[in-house]
Amino acid sequence: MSLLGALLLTAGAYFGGIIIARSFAEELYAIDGVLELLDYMQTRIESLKTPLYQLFCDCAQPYLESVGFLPMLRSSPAQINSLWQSATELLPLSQAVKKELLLLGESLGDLPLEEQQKRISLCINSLKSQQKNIASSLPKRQKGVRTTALLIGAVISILLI
Amino acid sequence: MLNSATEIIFKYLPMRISKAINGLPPRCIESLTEIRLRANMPLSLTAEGKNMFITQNGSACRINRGICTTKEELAECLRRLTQGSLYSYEEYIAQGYIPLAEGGRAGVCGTAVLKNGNIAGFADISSVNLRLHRFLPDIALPLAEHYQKHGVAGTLVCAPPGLGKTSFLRSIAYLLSVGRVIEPLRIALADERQELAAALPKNGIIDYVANAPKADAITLLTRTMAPQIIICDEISPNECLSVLESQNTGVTFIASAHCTHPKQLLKRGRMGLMLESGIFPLCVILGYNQGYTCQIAPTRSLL
Repeated sequence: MSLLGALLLTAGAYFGGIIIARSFAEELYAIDGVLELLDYMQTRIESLKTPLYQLFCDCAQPYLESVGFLPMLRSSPAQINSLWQSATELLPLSQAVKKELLLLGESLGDLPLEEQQKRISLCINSLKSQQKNIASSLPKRQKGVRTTALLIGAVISILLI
Repeated sequence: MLNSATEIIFKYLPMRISKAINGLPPRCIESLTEIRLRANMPLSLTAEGKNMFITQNGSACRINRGICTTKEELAECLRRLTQGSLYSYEEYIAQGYIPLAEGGRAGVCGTAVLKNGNIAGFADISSVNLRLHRFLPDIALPLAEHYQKHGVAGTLVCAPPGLGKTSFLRSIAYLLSVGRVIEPLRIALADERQELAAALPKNGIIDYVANAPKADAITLLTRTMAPQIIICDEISPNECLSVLESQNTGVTFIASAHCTHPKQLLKRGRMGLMLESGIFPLCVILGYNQGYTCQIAPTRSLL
């Protein structure tokens, strides 16, 4: 009976580890969503010079929609850059990635066309390289969390037995 | 109580400034034609041709007691005017204005950035002049009635800036297109600064080309839309050739020009040529003398 209990505890800890490891991928989804939005912004600004508010109203990115990022940007056409800062806080991103987005938000909409495009391109490039780093280290981090959770479960089980 | 045009413009002003203006007596607010914001300088308002300054609670005062616009407020106003997207309005800003969705415009100026000798934009916008446009359908009624008696003729509307040339053109476009005084006519607007068409009710026979150089718009409208009347605001020497070319197509022109008297135009090269060509047999001189005045006379009698 105690052996079965120990087994269940270890398995529970392991599954807990899997769930935590999966949540690590959430940041990648967020970066993916932001990159899609930035790409959309870049294209629309370049071809049609669409104002940001209109652009955010037209954009349909499911992830950014679900976390409330886009709905927040659509709340007022007058304060785009302060809204961008608040919306960034809604995303499950590391501080380094957030910093890039906040930097972009500081001057968003206040720059001439060429400069605005340059800033968006810089942000896209930076996010892409961060995405690459996160993606390459993700399996290792996920494996680490799963293993640690398994070990913790096993140790607790042994201690309880 | 604010009228709708003023309400629309108020959406572009920072809270502190719109509150101060809101403190003015309603009659005074209704007569406002311009609101000028300058960085770290007193806010000035223009009503009935006179400039005035106000305190925070909306009482008229001397310039040294008037509220000043801060740089941040000016930036906020610009953000509101450009919908938080300066790049969308770059080309307009280079020409010194920002069109409003409702049909008005805001003049802007400051330290210019030059590209090949032309103004490409402003490094630092220090002044914004919000021009309050209202749709006054009846102000051109005397001209419409003149057309009823004597027939429609090419007309030049003369007035210095701020005396209602655009409102007058809007009114005549409306009156002629809906057929309020005479049978409805096909009206075409060469609306380069997007001030005419956007503010007009959509119930007349009106076609327009907005946001294009007037000369190109006139040529396009003449060729493709078969208008009976083309209306264009603030005609300049650049459009003279297009107007003269269209002269023989049977289109009647109604245009406005910056001047207090048509004689002044004779000194402006091509403008004088256009006037002498007889394309504008009629002249309307707008003025202000304890109320807006409108003098209609044959151009030849004025030259």
